[in-house]
Amino acid sequence: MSQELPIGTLVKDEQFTLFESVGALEIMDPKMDSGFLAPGETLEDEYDITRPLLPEEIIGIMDQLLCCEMSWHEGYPLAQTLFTSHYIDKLLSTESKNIDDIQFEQGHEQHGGDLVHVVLRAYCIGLIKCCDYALDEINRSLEGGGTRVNFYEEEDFSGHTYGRELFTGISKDSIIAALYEAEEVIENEAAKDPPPDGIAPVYAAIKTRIEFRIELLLAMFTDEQHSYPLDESWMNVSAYLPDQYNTHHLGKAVPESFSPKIQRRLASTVPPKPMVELSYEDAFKKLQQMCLDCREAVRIVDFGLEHVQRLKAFLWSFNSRKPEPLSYPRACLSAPLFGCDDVGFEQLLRRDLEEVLLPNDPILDPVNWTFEAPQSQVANPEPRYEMANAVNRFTQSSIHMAGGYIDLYRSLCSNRCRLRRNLCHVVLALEEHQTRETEPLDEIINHLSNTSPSFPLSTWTYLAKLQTMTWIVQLGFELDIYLPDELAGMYWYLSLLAQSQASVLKLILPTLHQRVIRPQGSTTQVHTTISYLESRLAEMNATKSLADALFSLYTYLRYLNKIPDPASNSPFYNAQQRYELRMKPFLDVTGATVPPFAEYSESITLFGPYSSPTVNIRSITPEYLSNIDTLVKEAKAGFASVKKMGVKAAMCEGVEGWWMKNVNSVLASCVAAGIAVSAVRGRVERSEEEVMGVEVLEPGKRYHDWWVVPKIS
Amino acid sequence: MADPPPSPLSTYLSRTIRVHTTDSRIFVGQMKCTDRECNIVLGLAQEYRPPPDSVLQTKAVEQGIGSGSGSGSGIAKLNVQFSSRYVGLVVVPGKYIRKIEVEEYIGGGGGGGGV
Repeated sequence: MSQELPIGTLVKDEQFTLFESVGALEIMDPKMDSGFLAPGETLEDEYDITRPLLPEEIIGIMDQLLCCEMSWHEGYPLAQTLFTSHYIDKLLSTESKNIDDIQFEQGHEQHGGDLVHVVLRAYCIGLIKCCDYALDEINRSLEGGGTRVNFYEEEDFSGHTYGRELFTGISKDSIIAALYEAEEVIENEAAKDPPPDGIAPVYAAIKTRIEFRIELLLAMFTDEQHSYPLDESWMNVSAYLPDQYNTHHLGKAVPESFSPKIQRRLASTVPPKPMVELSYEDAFKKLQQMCLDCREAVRIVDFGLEHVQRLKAFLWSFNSRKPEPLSYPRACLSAPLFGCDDVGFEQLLRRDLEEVLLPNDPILDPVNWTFEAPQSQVANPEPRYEMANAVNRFTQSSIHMAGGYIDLYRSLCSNRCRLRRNLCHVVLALEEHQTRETEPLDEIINHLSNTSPSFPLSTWTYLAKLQTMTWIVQLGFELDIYLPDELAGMYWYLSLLAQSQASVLKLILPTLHQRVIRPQGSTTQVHTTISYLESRLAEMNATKSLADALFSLYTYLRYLNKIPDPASNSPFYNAQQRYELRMKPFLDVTGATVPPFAEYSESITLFGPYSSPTVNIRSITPEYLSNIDTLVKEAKAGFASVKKMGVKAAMCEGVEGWWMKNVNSVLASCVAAGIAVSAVRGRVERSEEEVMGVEVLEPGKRYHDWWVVPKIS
Repeated sequence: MADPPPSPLSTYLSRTIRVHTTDSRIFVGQMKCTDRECNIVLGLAQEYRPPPDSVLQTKAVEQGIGSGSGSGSGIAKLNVQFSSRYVGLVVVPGKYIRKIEVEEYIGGGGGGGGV
């Protein structure tokens, strides 16, 4: 009947679009149809999984499986990694209610011996269970704590199981028992008399791998109760790594036990894809790093929710880890945090307010929360009830908005590139919160409490907003978003942001000093907050100085024609549009408004056009460079004072190492900036500008990724 | 340009159809689209595959049904398990189609409508 259709006519479902049809897999096309078989080709391989294996082959297969496992953690789908193993495929292909049902071969007769049916089987089951735990942890990290944002975790990780269950229902204890049984088999084999030459280390190597798997299961186990601290569990896992690595050469790979054909039987809406082959060397490095990252991530439990700035510092420190942690370790960090419900996050926000602005303040007195709502409209409500009510409205609306307080934590738990983009949403939410909610609530609070800082909620929100904006610009440097010719302008803007933050901090500090002079109750908390704010103020002043120094240095180098500027030759280049693009995250922000383009443009071209400056650059050089020197010195002194005030003042206890390294790197950047300035001076004094080399270092090669100090030669 | 009169084929749109391909697989899914060459787009398709010939032969001998070649209606008589899997949206080119069957709805809500 179809032949009656005129050429080019389609008969189609109205809802079905041609656009959709592009996604259809073409059957019988070998590149798209995973079920296509070439003539004579069979769907199944001829591999016999019940054939006896040499002990060396057991090591080989275990190590190959480990490579697959790590490729999966790295982001490849199971179909291209673990599911390419005939052994794994067989164990997963039957529905099993308990571990005894999971066999390579049904029935009593078992060909291939204990090495296959006890040892390899137990190892494979343990491995699959580890994947189950990893998936569970990652899912929990995405589900918990009032999830309102989009997740992009699928960019980093593939959680698709093709309709198979990864032994979710099989208990950890039964699997560990099976692994112990495997260990026993190995011990008995090794004790056989007389042992063939050179076999002892091979059995020892298998034993190490089994023990490693047991420890890994214990560490990845996702239920609440753990017999001992999790970071210790991860240390135990790490302890088995060197022995495994050193015995890898004893193994004999069995490549035919893996096949890309297995994916043809999996429920799959994608074309067939090749197996992922990760070298043992690389897989092992990733495993090693993963164990270290997990060990750090699980410390989140020790940090708890008591000290908010410390918690944030910990999240920052984890987020800054290089190489970037894989999805699973990040899930180990965020699953416990987002296990917290909305009420938990509201408490967290109240503590945040308390730590930054309202230490031991009547506004946040827990007693306020003990009053009942007034029975009638007429009755004069208890002022303390009203205060608590205003704070509740503030915290609730911040928790519930997209990009709000929970999303700040979501951002800090995402990967480094996402962090910056997510923080852009956080800024907009803070902005909305400040313009819509905080002021009327502040008026209620001001009216009720005359000893507290005025407009506390607005102040906190504004400060948080400025801080987030500063981070966004600084992460821009780290992620190498700005071109070399933009560095001057972006440091100019960073300086403005740091200055705004400093001026807010300067406004808060006197109100707290007042509280010390006229104390109401204990002042310990007030002193802690004062130290914290002073540390932040010093940091912001120093940030401003260093940003100014780099802004001036890059501007100067621009006039010497030393900064590459490939973009401006493009016919599509438009300086104003580029500026607007860079400022896009901040365009809607009030209070810290983005300077107009004219102002920006004037600042970075203060001596007129780069090609024809209005002053003789040479004649202004000595004074100009000595100004930069002064700024660098101020910055260095500032960061040194932050260091001197210490980790406690900065509320970074628990991540001392990270904090110290951070401060020292910034100090090193100051030193490098000083050296760069004198190198420039030397070249210019000797009239050698022509041969002067200016290198803008890429991230990773800088002393601190947030500070792009040019290298002058 | 005036719309051509609707083809009688359009009554099968959105209905569940079974497409047999030349390699003895069967695809069952919702008919989304077809054309002059009888290329068929199936939505939410499931792939069914008969066991390999060797298995079929043994089964045929066991059940005493001739010397089954493993093709055509022979398979239907054999009591064998087809393996199935979900493949989603697929297009089956007309040249590989051996047979098309329409699944009848119980209660006979024929054609049209759809999702």
